[in-house]
Amino acid sequence: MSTAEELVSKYENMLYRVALSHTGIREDAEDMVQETFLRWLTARPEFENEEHEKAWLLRVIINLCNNLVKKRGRRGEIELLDIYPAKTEEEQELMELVMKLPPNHRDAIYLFYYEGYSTKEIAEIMDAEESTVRSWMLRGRRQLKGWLEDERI
Amino acid sequence: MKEYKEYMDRIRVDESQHERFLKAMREAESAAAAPTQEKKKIFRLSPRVYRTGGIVAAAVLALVLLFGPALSGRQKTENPAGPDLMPADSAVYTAAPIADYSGKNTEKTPEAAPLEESDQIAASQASLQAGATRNSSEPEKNANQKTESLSPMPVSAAADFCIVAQNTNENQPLKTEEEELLLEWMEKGILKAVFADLAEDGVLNCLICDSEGNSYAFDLSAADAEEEKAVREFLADHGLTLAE
Repeated sequence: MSTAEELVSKYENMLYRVALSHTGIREDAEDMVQETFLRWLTARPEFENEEHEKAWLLRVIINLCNNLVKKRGRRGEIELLDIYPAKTEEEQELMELVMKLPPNHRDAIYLFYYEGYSTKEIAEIMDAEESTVRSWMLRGRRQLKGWLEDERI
Repeated sequence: MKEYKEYMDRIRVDESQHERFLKAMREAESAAAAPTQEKKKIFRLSPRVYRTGGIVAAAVLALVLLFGPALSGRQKTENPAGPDLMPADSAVYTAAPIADYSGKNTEKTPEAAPLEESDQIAASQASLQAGATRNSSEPEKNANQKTESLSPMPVSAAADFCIVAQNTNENQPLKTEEEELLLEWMEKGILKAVFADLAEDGVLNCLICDSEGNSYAFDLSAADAEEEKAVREFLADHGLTLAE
């Protein structure tokens, strides 16, 4: 089982990425990461392995972010690109569009393309049906493709 | 997605954020380690919680045993073999027989045999189980239903040859293989376009539209190489060229 310090070092970047891409606001993302670690500390869950631990943390932070966004009503889409400016025009264009996607679509795309989870694993993390996740990804990709095509015409 | 990955790679916690997380964790850990009033309070409360929980569970069990048959909607019939557990004119005992809950018997059977108390309890449990089974098996049943391949049918004028994926039944879950196949075909460029409006749990059917606005439906629920071959042959028969 990881110690608190090990846990922070191991997962802070991953959790921060999820939270920041979900909320779009640095302070909110930091709060969500910290709250996730504190939830772990309070629950001290027994994990079967490291993957299980990682999936648990992802699930907690996604739920926390969902609750926060619901409470706030909107996300800070612009701030993410202010804090981490894009290096190229294509990157800027893509990330602006990614941030326009609904949070669920964005989370699914992040977990699939960046973290390398399968749709089945994403379904477990996001507490959704696998078919729903596939649908989110299909829609997300199609929307991104459509937007990119529109912008380049 | 290369740009996406590169961008996400750069989102990292800086040193000051890292220190803040560590500090918060250390503080929380030391607070948790200290014997606080809060912890003692929780400890003292625990036995009461268990007692209350036990009382509530016993009360619920008693209610289920008393009113379970009534709640399950079983029909009251005369019981020549023994005394009635409920008054003969009890209104709550006038619904359908147990078999209705399994979905196998939809007819009311006023001549149903009288039940002993133990039978009633067992039957009540059985009817609850039957209900649960019915609920859990329905999506599976729906998933196994195959939609019929349709004959050509008119659709709104399609300017180009395209494939339209449609939901025809919201109760049928989307099949992974179907979506994978369509995505694979899209990636290979076999399909010129796929218009899909997928409900979260919708079934995926495939409509191929030609340039004259005719459409041809395919059931992709058992999509495989054979299906792909069939679609290819079909398209070839209609003089349609596939992008490879």
